[in-house]
This record gives sequence, C-alpha cells and structure tokens, in this order.
Amino acid sequence: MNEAELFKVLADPTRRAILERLSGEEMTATDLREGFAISQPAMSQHLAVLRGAGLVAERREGRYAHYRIAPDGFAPLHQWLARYRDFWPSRIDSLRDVLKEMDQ
Amino acid sequence: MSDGQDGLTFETVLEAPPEKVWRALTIPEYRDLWLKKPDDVQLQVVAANANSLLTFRWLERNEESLVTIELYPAEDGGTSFRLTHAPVRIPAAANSNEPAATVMRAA
Repeated sequence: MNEAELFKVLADPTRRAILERLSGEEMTATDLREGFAISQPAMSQHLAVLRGAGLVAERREGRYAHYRIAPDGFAPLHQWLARYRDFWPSRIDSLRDVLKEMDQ
Repeated sequence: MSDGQDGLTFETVLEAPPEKVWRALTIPEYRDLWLKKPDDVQLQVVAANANSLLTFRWLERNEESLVTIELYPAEDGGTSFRLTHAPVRIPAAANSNEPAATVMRAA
C-alpha cells in the first residue's frame, strides 16, 4: 500500500481500538486480540493495514511479532491539524470584519 | 475549538443575523475578502441550505477535506456559527517503513 490514506485507515473503529491499546506498550498479536471479538486473520489484516500506513511498527523476536505505535506515521495527520488549527481563527476574525463593513 | 481524529471544530457567535452571514459566505466578492483562500486550494460546493448550512470540498494538492459551516439564529439577532473541517483523504508519509526512518534518524 503506497498511497495509504490515513483517514480511511483511522476511520475503522477496530483499528482505532488497536492503536489505543498500543499507545502505552508494545504487544504481540495474541496479547492484542484479548478482549477483541475478532479472529486471528482479521487481527493480522488490521495490523497489516496499520503497518502499511506507517502507524504501527513490527519487531520480530523468534516466532513472535511485537507491535508498537510508529509515531512518525502520525506526522502528516498532526501537520494537517496544526495547519488548519491556525488557519480558521484568523479567517473567522476576518469574517467579523467583513460583516461590519457590509450593507445590512 | 476542539479537535481529534474527526477533524477540527470552531464555534463562535457573530453579531449579524444568519441572512447576512449567509451573504458573506456565499457572495464571491464578500467571501474572497475573508476566506483568502490559498492559491493551491480548490473549492467545490457540496451542499447549500440558505441561511443555515454550507458544505464544501476543500481540495489541496493530493489532500481532500470537507468544510461544513452551520448557522443558527442566536439571541439578540446574532448568529451561532459552527465550522467543522474534517479530513477525507490524507496520504500517509512516504517511505514510512522502519529502515528508512532509522537511517534518517541516524543521519
């Protein structure tokens, strides 16, 4: 997946829940599945999508794969949010000015 | 203002009735004065419900997002204004696989 689209990846509630569980610690796929009513292939599929989008990193240790959050993967999202968090307040201020100058 | 994975929301009260705010939002001469749209952004109106709701697609290079403006009459003849900007498509960072990231950090 080259053109992974972050928001489509993040739109899935299971994937969001996986990211939440990984936020504090590294986990194996088996640990991760605990409490989720999904099959192992489904979990693998979700992890593959998250890895493809660069949001989760994998570390192999013997037969076990450990998963953790890949902070760099969230950068485009954070940059987008930061850009428009600054953009709109100044535009809304300008809208107030325009409203003052307009005819009734 | 609030934000999260669903995007950004800005809420305020404007000292003008919804009809007037609507004109400022939709008449191009007025809109250009306050929106000062970046040159590489293209707008496409998706939904318009006079004096109450305006939704437009915000296209910027390979990113796509949706801006929704909701207007409600407020006390004293003003307008409750709520703007939501939600990403639809944001490409993931290129080459976000681990070895590359490690090399970049080492450099």
